[in-house]
Amino acid sequence: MSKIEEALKKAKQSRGDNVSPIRTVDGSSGMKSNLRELALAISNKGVRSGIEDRRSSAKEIALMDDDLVYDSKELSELKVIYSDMADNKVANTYRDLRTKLLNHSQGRNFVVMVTSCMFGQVSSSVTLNLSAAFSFDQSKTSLLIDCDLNNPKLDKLLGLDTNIGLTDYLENEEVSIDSILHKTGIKRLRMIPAGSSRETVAEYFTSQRMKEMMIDLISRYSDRFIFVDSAPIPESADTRILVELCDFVILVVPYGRVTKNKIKEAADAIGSDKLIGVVFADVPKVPKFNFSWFD
Amino acid sequence: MLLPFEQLMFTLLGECYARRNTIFVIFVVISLTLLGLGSVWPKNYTSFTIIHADETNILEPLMQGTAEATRTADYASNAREIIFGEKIMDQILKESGWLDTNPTDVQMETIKNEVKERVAIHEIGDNLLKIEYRDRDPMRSFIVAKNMADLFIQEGERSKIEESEAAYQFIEKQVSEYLEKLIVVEEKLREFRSNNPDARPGLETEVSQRINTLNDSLEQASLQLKESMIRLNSIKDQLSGEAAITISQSREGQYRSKIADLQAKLESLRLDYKETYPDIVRLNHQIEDLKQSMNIEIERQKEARLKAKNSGDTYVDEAIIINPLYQQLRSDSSSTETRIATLRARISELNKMLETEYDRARRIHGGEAELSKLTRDYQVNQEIYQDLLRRRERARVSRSLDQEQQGLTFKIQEPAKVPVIPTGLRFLHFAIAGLCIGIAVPVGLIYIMLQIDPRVRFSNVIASELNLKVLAEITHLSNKTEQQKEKQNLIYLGVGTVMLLIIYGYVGWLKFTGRF
Repeated sequence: MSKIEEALKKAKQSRGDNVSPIRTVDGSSGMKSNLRELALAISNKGVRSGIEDRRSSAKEIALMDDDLVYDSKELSELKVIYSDMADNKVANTYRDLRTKLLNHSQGRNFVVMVTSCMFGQVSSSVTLNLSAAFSFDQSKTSLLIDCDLNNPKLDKLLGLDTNIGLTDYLENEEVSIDSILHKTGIKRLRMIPAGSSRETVAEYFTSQRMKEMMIDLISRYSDRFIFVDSAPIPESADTRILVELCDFVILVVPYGRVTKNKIKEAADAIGSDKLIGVVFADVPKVPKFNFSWFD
Repeated sequence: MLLPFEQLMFTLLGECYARRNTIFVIFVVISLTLLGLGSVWPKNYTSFTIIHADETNILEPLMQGTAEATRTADYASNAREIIFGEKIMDQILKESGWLDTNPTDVQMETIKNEVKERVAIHEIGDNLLKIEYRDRDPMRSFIVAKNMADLFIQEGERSKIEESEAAYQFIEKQVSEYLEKLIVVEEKLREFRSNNPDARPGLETEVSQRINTLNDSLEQASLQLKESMIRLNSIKDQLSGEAAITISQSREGQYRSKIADLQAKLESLRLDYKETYPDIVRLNHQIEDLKQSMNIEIERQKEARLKAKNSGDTYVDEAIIINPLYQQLRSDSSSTETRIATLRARISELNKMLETEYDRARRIHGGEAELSKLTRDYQVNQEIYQDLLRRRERARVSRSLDQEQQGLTFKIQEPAKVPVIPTGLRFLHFAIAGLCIGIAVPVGLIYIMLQIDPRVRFSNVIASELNLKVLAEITHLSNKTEQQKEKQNLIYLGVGTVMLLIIYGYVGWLKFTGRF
């Protein structure tokens, strides 16, 4: 039995009614408060046996079997940052971003959604690298969820070929959450791909199973950080629904491709309470002429 | 939005690097085009000469106000007019060898227009005129510039002399015309004077003054006449009244008063004496005599009155006739009558004189208008004539000045030389411009794009204008394959640039050695 199920059961018992707290309140704000409430319940449990949990989660992290791991050359080819990069400017930028996010969440784990102002794989690349930056830390794990069901890009970016994912889990009660968690070839980084079925997308994200899955994922490990890659918010209604399931949102603005109005439109769609900031990505690098090229 | 220069430059550099292939293509196209243009661009040689227009000379202060030195205000446009004239242009074409090929009239015209286009005439500083001529052939450029200056000066001197001569001739003609006019008017005036001796200015006023005086005298005389008439009437009245009051002065009255006196004396004697007293007797006799005389007198008076009555005369008692007042009145009356007669005569004389004066006034009225017209004509003509005489003298001096070449003189300050170095745009200019413009155009276009493209390229725009927090600015991450490609691309571009420079060098060498 998963921890979330235990928590739900406990919450039901303590309230003395048989109505699920998630179902009590309709609408987005209710959804948000319930998610946080549940997370609180879990963390209370965590306070009680915090040291033991931490120890056990560290142990679990250490035990995560990463049998297939990319070396730095392969990572470089996939345009994924790694801790001992030669040109570590980009890696450092992601580290700084990681620090900012951790400061914002006051050290707790969180679900962060990364969305963009327009189509393109810039935001997926940012999501991937950000999650990779979190997994540099040996005491943290990160989980990538590809929620851009129409144009899933993460498995391609990671050079993976997955057949089962999010939509399969949401559609089929038989599919367990463990079966959709895929290894990525990067230590301490797991991924849930979009899945094979891509119909009636919006219905998936409003479903109870989706909410439960999110709660389960966030509360399974207190050191797990969840990164949701989504379709560009101005173009997608799913993304707007997904905003409610996340703790906060990062908006990716690709260099030289969007106007101020477009950015404003995206920021307004997210809402100022969820949006923690903008990542200005894909800035062209200014060439540094080193003659080593001609060696 | 104002961006920091450094940031703008970094972005520009980044954009240029990203578009390096496009930039390279534009660079190659522009620089090769200009190189080609430069290698076929014709060489031009410019020869010039500077002419000094000497306006001030030693004579000027001496002749001030007397002679006008011929001035040329705008030398450049005047020179252009003179040089581009048929006369000089024909000569220049002949001297420069264009006519050797016997061109047709149309060709000649075309050549002339081409030459005109290549000539630049402008004033440099005070009184300095620069004539420039540009040609493919340095020798011809020199010949044309030299001829232009020489012919211009010759023409200038000649036209100046002609001009002052013409001015003199004109004034001379005017002088003779006015002299004739003056003589005619003078003759007319003389003739009029002889026909109208009293025609002189101011006569009319004099006549009217005289008429006024005559009128005054006439009025006065009429008044005096009336006065005298009234006086005469009054004297006559007095004369008739005076006769009545002087009756007591008659002889009869004298007798009566004597009788009364003697009667009184007799009465007083009777008181003392008797009737017989001698004195009384004598008195009685005396009274008796007197009474008798008185009766005779009464009788005589009656007779006289009757006589007068019969003859129709006014009877005047003799006693009255000898009355002094009566005498006085009678003399006054006669003098007044005389005066009246005199005044009447004077009035008729005055009337006659007035009539004469009126006649005269009528006569002179027309004459004076004629006279003043003639006089005015004469004065005006005389003034103009005198002025023209003065001008003629000045023109004479000016003409002499020009003939002696003492007025405005043109000197060649700097003679034309055979040009050695071509002027204007040369191959080297094109070559350098090709390289510079080739880089500047694409970079400039990218710069303009950065300025006008509304898409966001600066993270601080998001922070300042949209009030959104920028968490990170992530540069493009490239993998090994991309880096390899980039490196290869840069090598190609480098090789391309080197090849371009080799082409430049080769064309330059051909140009320098004169093989191209």
